[in-house]
Amino acid sequence: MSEFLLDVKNVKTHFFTDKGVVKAVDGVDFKIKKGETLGIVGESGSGKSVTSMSVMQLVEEPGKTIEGAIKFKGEDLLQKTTEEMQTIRGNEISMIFQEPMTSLNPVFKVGEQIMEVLMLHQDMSREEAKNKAIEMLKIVGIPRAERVVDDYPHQLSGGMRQRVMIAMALACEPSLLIADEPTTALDVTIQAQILQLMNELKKKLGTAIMLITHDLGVVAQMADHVIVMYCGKVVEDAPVEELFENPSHPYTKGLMKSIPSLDDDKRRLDSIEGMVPHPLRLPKGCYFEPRCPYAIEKCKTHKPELKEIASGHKVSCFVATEEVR
Amino acid sequence: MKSEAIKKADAQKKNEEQEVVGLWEMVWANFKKNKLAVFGLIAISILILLVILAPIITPYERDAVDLLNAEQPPSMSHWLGTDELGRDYFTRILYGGRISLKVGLFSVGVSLVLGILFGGVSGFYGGWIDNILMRIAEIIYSFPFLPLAITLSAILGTKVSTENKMYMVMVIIGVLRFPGLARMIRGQILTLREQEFMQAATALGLSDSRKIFRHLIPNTFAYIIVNATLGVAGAIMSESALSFLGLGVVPPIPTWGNMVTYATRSYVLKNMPWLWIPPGFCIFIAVMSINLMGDGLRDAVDPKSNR
Amino acid sequence: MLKYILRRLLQMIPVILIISMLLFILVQAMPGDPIQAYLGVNSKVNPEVKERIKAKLGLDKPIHIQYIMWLKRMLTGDFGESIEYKRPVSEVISQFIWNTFLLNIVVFILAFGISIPVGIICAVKKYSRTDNFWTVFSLIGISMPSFFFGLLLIFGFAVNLKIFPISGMITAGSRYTGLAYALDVAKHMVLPTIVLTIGSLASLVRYVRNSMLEVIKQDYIRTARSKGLSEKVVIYRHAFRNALIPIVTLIGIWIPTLFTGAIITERVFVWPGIGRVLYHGVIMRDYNIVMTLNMFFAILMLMGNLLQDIGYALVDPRVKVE
Repeated sequence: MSEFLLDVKNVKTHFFTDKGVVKAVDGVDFKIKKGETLGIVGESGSGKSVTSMSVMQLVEEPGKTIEGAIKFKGEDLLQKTTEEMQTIRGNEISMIFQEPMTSLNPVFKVGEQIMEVLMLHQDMSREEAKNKAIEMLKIVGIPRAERVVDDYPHQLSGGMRQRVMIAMALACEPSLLIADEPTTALDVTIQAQILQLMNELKKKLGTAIMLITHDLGVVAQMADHVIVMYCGKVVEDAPVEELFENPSHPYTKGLMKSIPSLDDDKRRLDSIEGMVPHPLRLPKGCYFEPRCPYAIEKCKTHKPELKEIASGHKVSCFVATEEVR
Repeated sequence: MKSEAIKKADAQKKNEEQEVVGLWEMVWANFKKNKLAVFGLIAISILILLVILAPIITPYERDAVDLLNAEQPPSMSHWLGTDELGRDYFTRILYGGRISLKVGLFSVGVSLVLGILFGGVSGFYGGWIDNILMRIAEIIYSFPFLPLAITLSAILGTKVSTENKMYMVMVIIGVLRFPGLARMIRGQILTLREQEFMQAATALGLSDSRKIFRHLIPNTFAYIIVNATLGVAGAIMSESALSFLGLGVVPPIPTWGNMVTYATRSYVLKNMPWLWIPPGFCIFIAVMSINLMGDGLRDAVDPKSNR
Repeated sequence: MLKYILRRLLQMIPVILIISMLLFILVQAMPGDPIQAYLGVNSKVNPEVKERIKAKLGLDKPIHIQYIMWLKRMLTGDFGESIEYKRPVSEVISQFIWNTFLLNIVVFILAFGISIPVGIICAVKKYSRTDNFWTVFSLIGISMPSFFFGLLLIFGFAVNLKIFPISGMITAGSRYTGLAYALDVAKHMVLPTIVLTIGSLASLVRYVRNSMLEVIKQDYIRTARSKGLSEKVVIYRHAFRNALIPIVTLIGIWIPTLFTGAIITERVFVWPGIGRVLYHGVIMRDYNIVMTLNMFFAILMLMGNLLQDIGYALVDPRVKVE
């Protein structure tokens, strides 16, 4: 068994639509160590959510993971049967989503929804499960947990619901938690609280986190390691300090510029010019080339590959790798 | 360097904009892709054409009696045979279709006028006006359709001549069916009312009626047309049911519905199927084609819907 | 809850009053001489007697007084006499309404019993062969006029194949009792039941399917899957419990139609139900029957709306009725 909890190799998840094949995830590699937090950054449409659904093996039709390997604790999830995956989901790998308002089933009590995972994966009786659910609600900082357990989701605020989602996800003490934009839909103050809670629980339970976000600020606060995705490919891969000190891909640089910062007296935030290309009409060369301020001729015709430019720091850009040499 | 990037981005934007076309082009493009819907459109077009061209297609008069040739089975000279008065049945089906389709279309017209008026005014003003108008709609809505329709038809029918029965049927169906449409339009207006272009209209000092009927209603046209199309199918069904019961359009004026009534005589039912199967089949085909078309339109207008 | 129901019932009163007024005015506009109808068409009575009867019946009073008198009678359960049946309207209704109910309750059970599982399967296996079959089925069912379909069935199964009786509810002249009677009625019920069930299935399957599709794409279904629940639990527990909300409201609307009957089907199959009573009433100008039944149907529909809202509150925890 390797030192990595999750080892994703060359995963390709494509959507076979009527209009053509959308290569939502196209040869993605990354690794997560036990107890580590990996940030996956990118704009919407970059394939980061599909990456997480690929790990869960929950990609919906017409999508399909057609290549690669997703090794979790040394075993390839892509080789598992549906039943085997069901014993892993919610138990060893669990997930929280962007929309706490709609991610909980409106017709079941909050406690019921937490108990369900416990009874399924841990063979608990209803009573044991209910006690554990209350305990979990307390752990995620919900006051009056004994009462909230019998509440319906609509009776709770967005932040509270996300806490419930976290309680549900962590109920079986999974070794990996996938968090897909967990704070995007929340108010800023609530955001900070939820992130702090996730950090605390990670330390307490030793859970590794795969954190998907478009917000580099969140990454800085949470992640140990970061990958940046663009159009289904990893364009930069680095430890978090290295990435912030030495962002190398023009796209990463662009993202950095769009973070508001206190010690910067610029009045306007830079944003990246142009739009993400249409997934069915990707540029021939580097996918970022049409928006790239540093593009050279070669970028129009050739696709760059991920190359290591410093220890643990990889980037896929002709300009960036030339520069270093 | 940077300006070049902007140019590139602009060029790309233009590329994308070429695909952004008007609503109706989009609807038509989506509609064309739906084979069943296109089939429905073609089928109903053929039916309409046949019915309009009836005088050219058939050499017989609609009401021409020929007692010597009464109750003939289908033959070369009478494709669908003749009825008890020797009238050519194919001819009567063509002319009957005229009435059936006309009633279907015009009753939806009545519903549309009422629905747009009620729904538009109600949604725009809200408050007590909304309350009163919607209560009226609700009262009409709270009757089951057919019992009230036959009651009204029986009451009004005595004062209406045979030739004008079809207009009476149009009004009854139109009035009884408008509340659904009014509700739909009201709902649409309520959401549109809050949008920016309406604030702009207010800022420009447009009159209320102009706001409602020139700016709000046109924005609900897509939904109205889908609803109206499916409504025509429903209205044709309603007319045929009323006429079948003898409480709609009555002989000697033929409609597909009252032609099926022949089958209530057990002798005709058993021995002269050409008198009731073809008109019934026509209703079925007409309604199905329009339904196919309506479903296709709905999907074309709202591609996210489930069908 | 009880308070809510009471309040709703109270709110219904003005609506019912307005409906009754409209109906009353409509009936006043009906042609014919009510005195003559009261006496029988052929009786010859001198005008003086007629005037006296008119006064006795209160028909010489202004219309609003007449309306109040009529309303009073209606409230005490006196719906007048049926001209055609020569019996009180209430008796006529209670005689025929159970025939309608019998037919419709069977249809109700069949229609919901079939459409719910079928709708779910169609939604889960969208665009599969099963789904496509039911889509075509729905389309045909929705587009087929029920009278034509009924006649086709009679033509095929009763006239030609002679498997089922042509019409009626019992074999004419038969004196069956007990089980034999039940079997005889059942035989007569088959064809009208098929017509009504297929007509209802056509729209119900579509409705259940679309409700289910709407639910399946919700975020909480993804959550349920991510918890490791089996597809069965995801669909039949998490998804169906939500799709049930629109379905239950539909059942609320359906309950009144158990009693309002199906005029066309009852006419085609000569089923002695309430729809046929109304149809005959309309044809024969039996106004007391027509008035009472329309009033009754309107009240039933209003009750249906209330039932719908109650059902809503029962299955959707987000709806509070207070």
